[in-house]
Amino acid sequence: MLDTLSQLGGAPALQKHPIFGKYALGELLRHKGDGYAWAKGIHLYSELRPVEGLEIAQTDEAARTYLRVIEEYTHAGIAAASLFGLELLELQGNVLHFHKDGDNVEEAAIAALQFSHIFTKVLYETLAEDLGDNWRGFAICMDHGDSIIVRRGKASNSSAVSLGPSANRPAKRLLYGKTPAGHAEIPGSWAASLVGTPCRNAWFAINLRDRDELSILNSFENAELESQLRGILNTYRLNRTLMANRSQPVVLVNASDLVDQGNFSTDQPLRMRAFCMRVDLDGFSSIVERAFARGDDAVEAIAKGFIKILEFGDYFEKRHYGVVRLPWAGDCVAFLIPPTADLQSFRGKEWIQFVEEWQTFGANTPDGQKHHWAAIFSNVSWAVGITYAGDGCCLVAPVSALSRKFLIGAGAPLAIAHDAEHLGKGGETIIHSTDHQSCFPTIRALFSKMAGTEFWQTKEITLKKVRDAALEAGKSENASKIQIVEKAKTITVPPPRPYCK
Amino acid sequence: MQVKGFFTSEFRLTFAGAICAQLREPKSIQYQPAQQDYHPALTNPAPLVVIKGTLPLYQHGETGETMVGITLTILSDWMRASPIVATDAPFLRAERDWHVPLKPYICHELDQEWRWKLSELWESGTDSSNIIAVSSAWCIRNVDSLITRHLHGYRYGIVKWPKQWGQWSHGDEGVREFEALTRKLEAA
Repeated sequence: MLDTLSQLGGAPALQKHPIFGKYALGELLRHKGDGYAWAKGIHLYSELRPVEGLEIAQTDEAARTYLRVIEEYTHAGIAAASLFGLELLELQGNVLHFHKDGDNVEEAAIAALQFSHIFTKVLYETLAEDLGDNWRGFAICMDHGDSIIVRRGKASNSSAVSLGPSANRPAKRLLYGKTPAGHAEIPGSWAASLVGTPCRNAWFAINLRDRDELSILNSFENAELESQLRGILNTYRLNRTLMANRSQPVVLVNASDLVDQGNFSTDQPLRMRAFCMRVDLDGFSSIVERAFARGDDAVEAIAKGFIKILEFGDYFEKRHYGVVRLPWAGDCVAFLIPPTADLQSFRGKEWIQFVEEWQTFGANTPDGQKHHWAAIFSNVSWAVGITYAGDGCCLVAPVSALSRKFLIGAGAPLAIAHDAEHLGKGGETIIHSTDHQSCFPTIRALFSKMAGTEFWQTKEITLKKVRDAALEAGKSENASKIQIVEKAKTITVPPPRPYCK
Repeated sequence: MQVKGFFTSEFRLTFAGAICAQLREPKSIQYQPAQQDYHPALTNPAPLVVIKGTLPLYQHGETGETMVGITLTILSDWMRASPIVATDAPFLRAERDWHVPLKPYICHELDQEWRWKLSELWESGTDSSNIIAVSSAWCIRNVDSLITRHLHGYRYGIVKWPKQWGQWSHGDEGVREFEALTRKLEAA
């Protein structure tokens, strides 16, 4: 019936794949729908170091500069990946996430290092020269192992989410900022066989820009691939210059000016004022690790379960007016939440409803009760970092490169929410001192300062907990005492008990 | 009794000043006739003392960031009747159960309790400056407490006066509760 309709031009194209299934990684990335891949290979992250500090979203000029750098960097990443047989899984802010398939660690690692070396060499020459003082370089970190790569949806913020320790470890290492720019870090256990230097540390850093230090870098040279990458980049830059001469500069608008909030985040770059809420599923990595040991069925169960978590993320984004969800990074995701008109009240208390709804998997919403998101995985909970970071200035933009489109976010709220979330454990909410100061006093009292940091922490915060705290504080005996000592006699007055005829 | 009457009339402005000192700028103290009509005003020897000022809220965990405008009217027999208080706080819930029967006036104190405590202080020979200090601080604390409870009700969605927040019952019942309490205290 559908075939007949299709021939008549009246029916949609037939979906050849099942609604949800297992694919090879390359197929999964090109397949427009839900699915997963059980991949074995190297996860390689390349982090572009901050271009404009945290001032990216403060002015249109700074935002445009940042976008130009990110676009060129992403384009170079995609071009290099295709030349070296890597897959670009995701662009998460300023981090490119690649995957190199391969069961053999050494073979895959050599290919990944060759990629890293030439990618670094070419970009440090081309981008650095172009950007002058704005260039801070980038750093690479990688690890090898099993991972589940899950995909849901096909919009620009639909992520190819990598689950598993081999994806998690280098991402965390890199994002903690411990890898120096211009370096690639590999697990210490690889160092002896790959570069001939035994290493007892967890990580070994290779300076990709100093061939004198490591002669092995000479063996990573590949003049042909290097020349091809330069050629692709030069063509892209030439085209970009021509386009820039012909077209208007990028228009940056405030989210609040948009009438249609439904799909604004995918269309054009926005500067917006928003809270950033970054959440991390605590306890999930161990579940994934156990699944690898138990085999196909367990892995598929994890993939199916995580698809439901992604569905919850989409639901959360659509449920709240103006909220933007950025792509998932493993089991972490960040939301930009524009405050309502009354900023004081939003910073004082209203933000808690978002944290509560997320941490309870929407248990108090009709959809949460219907879909039972909270029951998908046992013994997992969300760590939340949330901040307005002073003025909430963020940049959201879709970055197009070849046939791919990635949604990125930047600005101080994202950076600070990221740091906050890293400090938290499951069930905890971490806020910055500036946010703590903006909370209503009753709520402030529910947080405790994290020693040696600028952050405050609380566990399982809910609006009910806040209300209960207010009820407790409001008791007559919790009003201040009035005491005056006169001739060794203490004068006191009764606690406040209002009276109305 | 005559001495107490003298203290009440002569120290009324001192009491008003002590209250005013606890408020923030802009603030003022003024005499105001008790009646609007010209002739009774001329014949009334005891005009009202009206204090206007800004009150930072410090009770029940507040830290003074929220401020409200208040007006306190000190009656001539201020040791028997607590000041009449009105506020411009925008979050007031104008309900009898919230002790705001008529906006903007708030019922912050049971007069019998006020009278009883000040009498006790007077009878025990407390220094006059201490009577002024205690009564003014007590009045402001209670006003602050009631307004703060309204603030918390507004902020945290508390629409019904909570049972755990102390209050006297309405009308004669509240007076009977107070009398029962004082009898109990005297017996103890």
